[in-house]
Parts: sequence; C-alpha cells; structure tokens
Amino acid sequence: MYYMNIKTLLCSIRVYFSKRWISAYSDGALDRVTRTKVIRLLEQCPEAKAYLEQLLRLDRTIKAVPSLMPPDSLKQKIDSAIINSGSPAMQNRRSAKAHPHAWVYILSSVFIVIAAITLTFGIKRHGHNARQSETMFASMDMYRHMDLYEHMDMIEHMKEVMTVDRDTGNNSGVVK
Amino acid sequence: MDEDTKTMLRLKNGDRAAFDELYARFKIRIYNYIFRYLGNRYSSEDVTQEVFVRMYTSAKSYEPTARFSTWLFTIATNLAINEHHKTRHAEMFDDNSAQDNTLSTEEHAVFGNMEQNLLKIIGNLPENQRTALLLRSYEGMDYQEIAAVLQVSEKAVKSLLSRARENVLHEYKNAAM
Repeated sequence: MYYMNIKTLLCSIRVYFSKRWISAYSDGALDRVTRTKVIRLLEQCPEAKAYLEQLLRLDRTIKAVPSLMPPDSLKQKIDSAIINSGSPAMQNRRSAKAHPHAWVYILSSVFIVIAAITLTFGIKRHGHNARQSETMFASMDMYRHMDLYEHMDMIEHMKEVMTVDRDTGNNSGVVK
Repeated sequence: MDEDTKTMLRLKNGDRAAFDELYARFKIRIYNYIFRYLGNRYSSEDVTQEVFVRMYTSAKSYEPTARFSTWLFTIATNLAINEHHKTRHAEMFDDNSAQDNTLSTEEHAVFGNMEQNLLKIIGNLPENQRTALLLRSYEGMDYQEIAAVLQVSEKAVKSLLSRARENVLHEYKNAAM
C-alpha cells in the first residue's frame, strides 16, 4: 500500500514535469529518443495516459467547433477596397481622410519656414547695417572729440617743442 | 512549390484571376481564424477584408521563401493582434464596446453552449498561446510553421502549446463544475 502511494506520487511528479513532452507527443512533434521516453512514461503511469487522453479529447472538441461562412458582401467590399488602393489619387484622398487636419499642419509648416527665413535674413541684414553704423559713429566720435580748440592746442604744443629743440640743439623728432 | 504559392506568383505577375482563386481557397479559413481569435463577427469581417487587401497590395513584393499559407496567416495574425489591442484599448475607455463581443442570434444557433464556452476560454488566452493553439488545432500547422508565424523558436512553440492546452483544460473543468 505504502509502496503504491510512493509510486503514484512519483508518477504524478513525472507527469507534472513531462506535460510539455506529452503535449508535443500528441502533435507527433518529438524526436525518436524523446518519443521513446514518453511512450515508456505512458506505459508506466496511468496518470500520464489520462493526461494524453484529455489533450486528445480537447483537440477533438476544438476541431468540432463549426465554421462560420463569411458574408457574400465581403468579396465586393474587398474588390472595391482593392480598386481604391490601386489608384494613387484615391490613396492620397484616403491619406487626407485619415488625417483630416493635415492641411493645418502643412500651412503651419510653411509659415514656420517663411518665418525662419525672414528672421535669419533680417538678423544678417541688421548685423551688416549695425557694423556699418558702428564704424560711422566711431569716426564721428573721433572727430567730434577733436574739436577746434584741441587742434589749436596741438599746433601750439608743436611750436613750443620746435622752439625748445632749436634752443637746446635737441632733436625731438618734430619735423621742421 | 505548393499550388497556393504558384497561384500567388501568378498574382504577382499581374493575373487578377489568381486573386479570386486564392480568395475562394482561403476565405473561410481566414475568416474563421480571425473570428476565433477576436470572438467578434463585425471586427472579423473588417480584418478579413484587410488581410485580402494586404495580400493583393503586397503581391509585388512577395517572395516564396515559405509556404503561402504561412505568409498569409502571418498577415492575418498581425492584423488580428492589432485589432485585439485596439478593441481592448477602446474597452478601457468605453464599457459599451465590450458588448460587441457577444455572439449574434445566428451564431448562437451555430454554436452550442460547449462551443461558446470553449471559444470564450480560447479568447481569454494570452496572445501567443491563443495563436499557437488556433494555428495548430484548426489549421493543422506544424511547429516550424507556427514558429515562422509567431517569429519564435520551435521550442517556444512547444511550450506555448503545452501551456495553452493546460490553461484551456483548467478553465474548461472550472466552467463545467
């Protein structure tokens, strides 16, 4: 009795770990060596045999589910879908239909591109003008600061240097 | 090269009649596969339509690297998954949209209670488990083909199928109790 229980328990364990092989065996999808092992298990364990029978019964039940007939209108629908898909014009139309707001995206993109071009050239032009203006203003600043009095001072200073040079015999580099 | 692939190559070369042939061969399989995946007749019609339109529009780029049915079911699976995500997303914001998943009177007449329960249980499986189970049980695809559709390894398919069956058995027993 005790021996029988142990044997049944071992069988249960073997079946639990062999379900994948029994399933594949029911499909005839095992190599020769594995198939021999499964056959031996089926001979030794009634539980394995019962599991195989369950699988085969399930397969028969699944296969017995009746098939439905597709509606006759299906072929017409397919034919018209094919005709539509064959014409590039229709494909474009379908694409527009699939994206009903496509024109908004297109217009936005065009606007962004135009804005980007305008800004880029505007900044470049502004930069060029700004550089010209800077040069002009720098020159104007120089002349504005060197007013008439400064010119007179400079001439007076040069006269003084020339007088000192003549008296001392030095040459300070001022052109006589 | 199988007959379907040859027909698809004819479509690729501009033979419009080849499209009608492929539609006639696959319409029931694709429609039912999507219906079993989504559990919604109206969405299934839309998705089936999209599958065949894609088949037509992708014909130019079609290369017979795998079986044609694998290629077509990959399209169907991807579109069904997208639709499932959309529906689930809509349901999160709109409780009324969940009502669309109920079967119509016509479908009640076709499916018994047992089938309805089964479809519901399969519909609640995780995406990859559901795809693997449907492709294996209804389409009879081998592990290599299922792996190609799901873009996973064959080992993963083995595991997905085992877990899918285990989950269905578990839920089915609970529903029967």
